[in-house]
Amino acid sequence: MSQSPLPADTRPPAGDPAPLLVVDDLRTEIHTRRGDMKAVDGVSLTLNAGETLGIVGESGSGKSVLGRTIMGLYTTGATMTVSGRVLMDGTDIHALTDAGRRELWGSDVGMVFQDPMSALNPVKKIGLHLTESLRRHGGLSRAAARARAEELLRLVGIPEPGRRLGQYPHELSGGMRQRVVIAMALANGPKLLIADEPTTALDVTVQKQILDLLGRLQAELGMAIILVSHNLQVVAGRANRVAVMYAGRIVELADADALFAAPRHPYTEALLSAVPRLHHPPHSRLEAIDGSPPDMVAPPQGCRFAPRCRYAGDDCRQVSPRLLSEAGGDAARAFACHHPVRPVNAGGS
Amino acid sequence: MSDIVESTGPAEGGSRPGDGADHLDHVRPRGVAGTAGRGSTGGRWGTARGPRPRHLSWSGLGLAVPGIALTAVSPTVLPAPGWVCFLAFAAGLAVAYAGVARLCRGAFGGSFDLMFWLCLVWLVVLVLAALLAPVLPLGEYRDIAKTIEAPAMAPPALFSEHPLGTNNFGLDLLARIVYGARASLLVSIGAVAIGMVVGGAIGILAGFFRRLTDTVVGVFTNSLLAVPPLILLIALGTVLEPNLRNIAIALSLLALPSMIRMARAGTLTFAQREFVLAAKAMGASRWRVMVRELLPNVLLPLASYGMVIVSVLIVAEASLSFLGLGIQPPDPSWGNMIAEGEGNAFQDHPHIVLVPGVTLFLTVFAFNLIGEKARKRWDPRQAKL
Amino acid sequence: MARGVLKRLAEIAVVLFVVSVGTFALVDLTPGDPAITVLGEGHTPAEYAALREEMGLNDPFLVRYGSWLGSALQGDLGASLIPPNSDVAERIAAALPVSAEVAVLGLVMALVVSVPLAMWSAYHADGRVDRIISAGTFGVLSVPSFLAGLLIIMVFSNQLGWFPRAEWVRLGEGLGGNLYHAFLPALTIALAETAMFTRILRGDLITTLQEDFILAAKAKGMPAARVLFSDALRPSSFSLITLLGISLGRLIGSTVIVEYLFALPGMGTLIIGSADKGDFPMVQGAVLVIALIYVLANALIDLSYGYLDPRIRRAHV
Repeated sequence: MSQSPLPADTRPPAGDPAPLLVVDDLRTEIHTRRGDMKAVDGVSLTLNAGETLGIVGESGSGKSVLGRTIMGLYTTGATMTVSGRVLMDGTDIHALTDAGRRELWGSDVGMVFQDPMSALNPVKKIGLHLTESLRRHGGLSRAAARARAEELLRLVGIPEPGRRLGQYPHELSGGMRQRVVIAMALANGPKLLIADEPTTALDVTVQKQILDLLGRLQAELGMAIILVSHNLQVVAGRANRVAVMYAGRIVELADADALFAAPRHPYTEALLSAVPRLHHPPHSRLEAIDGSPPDMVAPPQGCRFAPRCRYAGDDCRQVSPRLLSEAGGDAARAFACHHPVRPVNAGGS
Repeated sequence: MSDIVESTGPAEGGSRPGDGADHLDHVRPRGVAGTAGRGSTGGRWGTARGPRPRHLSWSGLGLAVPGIALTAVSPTVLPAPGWVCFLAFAAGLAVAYAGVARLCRGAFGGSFDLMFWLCLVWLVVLVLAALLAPVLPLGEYRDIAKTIEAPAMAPPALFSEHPLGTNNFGLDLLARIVYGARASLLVSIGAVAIGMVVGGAIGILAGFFRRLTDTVVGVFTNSLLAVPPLILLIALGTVLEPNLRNIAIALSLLALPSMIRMARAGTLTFAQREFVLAAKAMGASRWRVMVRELLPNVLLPLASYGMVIVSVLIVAEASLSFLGLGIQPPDPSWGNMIAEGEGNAFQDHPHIVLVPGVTLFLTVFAFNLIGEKARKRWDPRQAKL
Repeated sequence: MARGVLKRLAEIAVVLFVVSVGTFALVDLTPGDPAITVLGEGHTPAEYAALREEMGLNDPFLVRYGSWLGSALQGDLGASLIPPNSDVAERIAAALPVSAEVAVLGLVMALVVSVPLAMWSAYHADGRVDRIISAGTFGVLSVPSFLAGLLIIMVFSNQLGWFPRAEWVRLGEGLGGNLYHAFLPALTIALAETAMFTRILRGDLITTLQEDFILAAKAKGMPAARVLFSDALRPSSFSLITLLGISLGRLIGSTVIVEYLFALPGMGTLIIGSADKGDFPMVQGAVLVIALIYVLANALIDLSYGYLDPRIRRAHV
C-alpha cells in the first residue's frame, strides 16, 4: 500500500524525447455569482508527440474546461483565474500575449467541438470556414486556400468537396458537419488536436465513423490527440493513456489497457461497472454511481469522491489523497486514493 | 466549458447581461482577475455574494451630503453662467444619487434598487397630484383673465408664489403641470382601458369563432397596423373634435392591434384546455364560456401589456398636443405647454420648455423602467428580446 | 418562394384596399363639410348647393369612393381645398424626397453610431463603459422626439449657432448645403433609433458571443476584431434587419415631427399643416401614400430577410 513520494508527472521521461505538452499544476477558477468554482484544481500531465490521451469524467468534472484551459481559450464574457503552466514544445502558452496565442491556435493546436451544429457559423459558407484559417496562418492566396480546403474536405472523407465549399452548414448532415469541424482543426497541420466530446452530439452510427476518422488521420498526420469524453467506450481502444477526472482533479492516470483491465481508483471502478459489457452475463445489473458530483464552489474536504465511495474511511474525509504512483508497481500508472482497489490478479477486492 | 456551466446553472435568460435596466443599478462588477477574463459576467452578483450585515455606509454618506448640497446650491446661489450652473447641478445630482444608493444598499441590503423606488415614488406623487389637483393650493392654470396681475415668464423659484415659474400669460406652471398630468394620465389610461375592453372582446370573438370572423378581424388589425401610429393620430386629429374623449379613442387605436392579437392568441390556447372543454361539455353557452372561462385567462397578459404601453401613449398624446392637434390651449397638456416655448420664447425663457419637458421625460422614464423591471420579473423569456 | 411572394402581395392588396376605404370614410363620414371649408363665410345657399353638386358630395358613398379610388389609381389624388387649390399628388411628389432624405440620413447615422457602440458594449459586457452606454440608451429612449429636437435646436442652433433652423436647401442646389441643412433633423431622428438599435444589437451580440462558433473561430487563431465582425456581427445583422421593420413606424412618426420642428418642406409639414386647416383631400392623399410606402417597405424587409439569411433562405426555396 505504500506509494512512492514522487508525483506521477515528474517521473523521468524513460528514454522518451521531450514531451510535446507538459501541464503543470493547472488550476482554473470560474467566477460565478455563487462564488469561485474550482473547475480545474491542480492538474498535471504530459503528452508525447503522436500520442492519444483520453480524458474521461462525468459532466461537470472539469474535463472540457481542462481542454480549453490547456489552449488558453475562453468564451467571451467569462471571468476566470488560471494558474499553473502549460508548456507546448517548451513555450508557456499562458505566458504568451494574446497575439502569440493566436499564432498557436489553428496552426499548432487545433480544436474539435462537441456540437458541430453550433461550432459552425450558420451564416458563413463551409469554404470560408476553412479558407480563413488557411489564409491567416499559411498566407495562402485565395485560390490556393480554396484548393487546399477542397483537399482537406477530401481528407476527412466528404464527397463532392468542391460543391460543399459553397454550401452553408445547415445544408450538411451532423456527421458531415463534424467532419468539416475536424477539417478546420486540421487545416494547418497541428501537432496537437484537442477533441472535446467530438461524438456526443452525433448519431450512434456516425460516432464510430468520426472516431475511426480521427484514428486514421492521426496515423496519417502523426499529431497528438487529447480526446475528452464522458464515455469510456469512446476512449477505449483509441487512447494510449487515459486520465480519469473527478471534481476538477485527475484521480487516476494510466495506460489505457492497464486501466480498463484493473482500475485502481474506486471512481474508475464505478465508472467501468456502469458501462454495459459484452462479456457480462446477460441480465447482470449495471451499477449506477450513487449520489451526485460535489458542488465545486465549496468542494468537500479531503477526497472529493469520499461521499460517494464505498471504500471511504475517516482519513479520506480529512486528507486529500495525492496523485502518486505505487512503489514497486507500474511507474506509468498513478492514482489518488488512500484505499485503492486491489488489482484483480493480486487477489481481488 | 459546457459541462461546468450545465452543472451550476448558467446565467439564466432573464438576468443575462443582455437586458436592460439591470445596468442602471450601479453595482460594481467583480474585478477581472488573471489572464482570462474579459469583463465579468453579471455585475450584480459581485455584491450579492457576500451578504453583508445592514450598516451605515460612510462612503455613501460622504457622497450624498456634498452631492445634495451642490444640487441645492447650483441653481440658486452659484454666481456663474447658466451652463456652469447646469453642469454643477447635474454633477451634484449624480454624486447625490451614488451616495444615497450606497446608503440604501447599506440600510436595506445589497439588492436594493434605488432607481426603481425613485421611479415608483415619482409616479405615485404624480398620480396623487393629478387626482387631488382641485383641492391642492395651486396657482391659476387656465383662466388668463385672472392672471393679468401676475408676472409673465417668471423663472422658477422654489419658495415663491410660482415654484416652477409662469408662462407668457402669467399662468402658474406648477398648476399647469399638475392639470396637464391629469389630462395626460386620464387620456392614456382611458385609451388603455378602451383598448383592453374593445381589443379583448374582438380578440376573444376572433379566437373563439375562427373562420370568417377571424379573417375579418385579421384584415382589420393588419390595416390598422398599416398606417404608422403618429400618422393615424394626425389623420384622426384632422376630423375629430379635439376633446379628451376623442383623443382617448384615437390613442386606443394604437393599443388595439396588439390587444386583439394577444386576446386572440390566448383564446386559441385556452379554448383547447380541459376546463373549457369541460364547461362546454356541461352545456355552458358560448357566451358563458367566453365570459366566464376565457376572459379571466386572457385578461392578465392584456393588463400587463397595458402597463407597458401607457408610456407610449403618453408620448403619443404629448406629440399630438405639441403639434396642435391634441388638447387645445388654454387647457394645459405637457405637449402644448412645450409647444408654447417653441420659437424664440425658449431662447430667453428655457424654463417654458424645460419644466414640462423634464416632467414628461421623468414620467416616461419611470413608466419604462418599472415596465422593464416588471417584464423581467414575470416574463424572463420575453425580456431577452 | 414565388408562392410566398404572391400570397404576401395579395395580403398587401387587401390591406391597402381597407386602408383606402378607411381614409376615405374617415374624411367622408365625419361631420364637417368640405364645401363650407372651400367657400368660407358668407356664401349663398345656391352657391353652396352648386358646389356640393360639383364636388359630388350628393352622390352615394360607394360612388364617391369609387370615383376617388379610380382617380387615385391613376395618380390623381384630387385638389387641395385651400387656395391656391394645388394638386395633391404634385404637392406630395415635391414633399416626399425631403422626408425620405431626412429619414434615410437619420437611419444611416443611427446605424453608423449604434453598431460600434453595441459591439463595444457587448464585448465588454458589464464593464463601466457598457453600463454607461446601457443607462444612456435607456434614458434617451425616454425622451420623446419632439423634445429631443427642441433641445437640439436650443443647443446647436440657438446657443452655439452652428446650424440653421428653419431653412432647407434642396439636393439639386448643392450636396454640401443640403447635408448641412439636413444634419440637425437627421440627428434628432437618429437619437432614438441609435438607442434602440444599440440596446437590441447589444443583447443579440452577447448571446452570439457565447456561441461555440465564436470559440471555434478563436480556436482557429482569427484576430479578435475579425471574430467580432465576421463571426458575431454577421448573424446579428439579420436581427438588425428585423429591427428595421419594427422601428419603421416610429421612424416615420419622428420624421413627421422633426420636419414640423425644423420647418422642412416634407410630408410631415404638409400633413400637419393640412390637418390644421382641415384640408381633407391633402390629408387623405398623404395618409394613403405614407401607408402605401410603409406597407411596401415592411413587406420588402420581410422578403429581403428571407432572401439574405441563409438559414431562412433554404426554407423558402
